[in-house]
Amino acid sequence: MGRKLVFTSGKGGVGKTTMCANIGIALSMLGQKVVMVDADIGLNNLDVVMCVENKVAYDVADVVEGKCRLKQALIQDADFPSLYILPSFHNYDTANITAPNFKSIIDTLSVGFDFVIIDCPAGIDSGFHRAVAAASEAYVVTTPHISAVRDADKVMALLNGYPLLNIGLVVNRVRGDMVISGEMMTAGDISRLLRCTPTGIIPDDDTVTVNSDIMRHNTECEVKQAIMILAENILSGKRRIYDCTDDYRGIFGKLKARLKKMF
Amino acid sequence: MKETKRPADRLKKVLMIDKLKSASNLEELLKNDARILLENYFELTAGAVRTGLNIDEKNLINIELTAKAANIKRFGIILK
Repeated sequence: MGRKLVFTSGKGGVGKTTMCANIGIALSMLGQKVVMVDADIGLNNLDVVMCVENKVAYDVADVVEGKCRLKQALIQDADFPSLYILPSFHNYDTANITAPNFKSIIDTLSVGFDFVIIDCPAGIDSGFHRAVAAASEAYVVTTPHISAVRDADKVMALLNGYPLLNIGLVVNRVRGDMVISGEMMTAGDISRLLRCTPTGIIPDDDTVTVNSDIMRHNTECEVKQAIMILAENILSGKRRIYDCTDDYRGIFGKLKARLKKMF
Repeated sequence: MKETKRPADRLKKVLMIDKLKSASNLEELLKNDARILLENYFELTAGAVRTGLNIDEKNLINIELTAKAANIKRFGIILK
């Protein structure tokens, strides 16, 4: 049976969908057979991030309503043959997509795949419950901002009520220069306050703004290294963490931080 | 001029306030438990137990508990 991971956050806009997409790509680069499921009914974006929005023939609602087989709804990635996407329903009519129905789909997928990655919607309402109830592991994505960590804290309290094997923490969009100057919280601060060791720390990088599915592009950047470390941690239980502040230490580091602020 | 707090310190205060005000209603639980404890020793006047929970500038929880009693009990017997 494959592992069923859900990426959740509470707060919207912290990078759940981007994280799902890139972790899916990274795991397939590591030889795993991966399917990514968009659990955000109505405000779905996983298909856009993965650049398959023009290939959507069937979605999760069609599978639930019996209009197609599960295999027909899966979209194979063009660059990574072991990576598939199950797109979400674009209309906000969730009457048929109940938590048991959704769980049944995820359980079926886990038989044929090494990893099922679920992109959880923002918030803590029925969509959150539907996504988390289907998963066996959860990763809470947050950014080093007070509102995001506050929401992550509430989500973690809710996740303790589910029978999850593991709850991990991913701190996204960390600015190493701001951490050094004390303007931004460190991942250690967040870890202590949430009482959870981070599984991954991802630096902030403008290249991700341009290409959300950065892992498939040939651009060399820190974000790709950090995401690959996170994927390896998820796959093999390692505890390596990417140091976002390394580039901003010492004389040259401080100069780089100053230049970054100027431009 | 307003002193700039470290983001982590400010967040700690926010998280502690959230927990104090959470659905479990800590203040009400504290008040009920305090009343039960105090009634073993004192003849409390009606509605006399008051609790206060707040966070100070050092991010420590101030716990205030006040009550008024008409008399002292000893072994459950009211002393006259």
